[in-house]
Amino acid sequence: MTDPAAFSALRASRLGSELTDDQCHVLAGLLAFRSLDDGDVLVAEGTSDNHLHCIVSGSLAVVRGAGGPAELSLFTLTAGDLVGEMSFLDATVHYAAVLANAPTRVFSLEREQLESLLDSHPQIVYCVMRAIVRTVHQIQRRLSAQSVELSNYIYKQHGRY
Amino acid sequence: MTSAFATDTFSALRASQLSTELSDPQCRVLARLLVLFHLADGETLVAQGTSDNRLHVVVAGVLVVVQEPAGPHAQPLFLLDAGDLVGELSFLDGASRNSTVIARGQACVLEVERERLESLLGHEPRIVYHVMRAIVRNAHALQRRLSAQALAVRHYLYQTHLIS
Repeated sequence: MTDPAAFSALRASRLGSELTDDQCHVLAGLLAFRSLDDGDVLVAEGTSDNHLHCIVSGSLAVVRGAGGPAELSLFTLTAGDLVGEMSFLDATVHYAAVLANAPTRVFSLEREQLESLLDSHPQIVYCVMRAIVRTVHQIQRRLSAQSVELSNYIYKQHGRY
Repeated sequence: MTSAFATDTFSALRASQLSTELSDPQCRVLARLLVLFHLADGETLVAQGTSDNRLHVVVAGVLVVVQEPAGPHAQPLFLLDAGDLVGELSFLDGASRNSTVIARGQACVLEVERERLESLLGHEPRIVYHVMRAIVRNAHALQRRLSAQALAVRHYLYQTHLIS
């Protein structure tokens, strides 16, 4: 029997958005849940693993050079956001650390666990991959919009002066 | 039309990022579901504001991504060349396209229809999985390129303001 809390967390997340209740129960059984205190490290810069993390509640800071003299906070992730897509897919090294900046709860999915569903539940794997593509694309669209705004600003400035 | 990029679907797929993780037999299965076609210089591949269920893979040539209004003064967002993908979100969700993609010179592309890919889920789920992994990788690479571009523009702005 799936843990009802695990089911609810997955149901409410992007990863579960296209899954039926039955599929959600199957996938929820493969998730690992973890609570982080303020300052706890979810992933360390320069490491890699095969887990995809999803924030259930709280928030995480993406930081380069954490704890060093040139520490740079890049952005903040909140409930629903995914962490570590490329490390999950290809064991790509994390380019920054991800730390809790408030009490935070996450669930994690291991690549091999997802792949274990390929023959029995291919639709679940497909829906999870669709959710990952959507998340990456949202960031891409935001960057495209920023790029257009900055270019427009430059061209207006040149026209004015 | 005649083209300098005469090739067959299997070879075009084999050379693309979409098939990086596929075996030759898997590639042959997928190639049967794809369409290969050519674009003339200035021809529009996809138009901003439209949507469909197709993903395109650039096989050869260069495509320019612009935001409307397109025209001689339109600022290209970026260029796409061999291996790049076009229209992942429209392909996945029928989302409206947020830019127009136009051939710069002759180009050749592969077209994948979502329903055709999904028809493999029952008997070739690994092909679908590997294609989806390739799509995520491509989106991430583009994201990194856009981040670098935005950073370069910011540096330019700061330098300009410091000088003036």
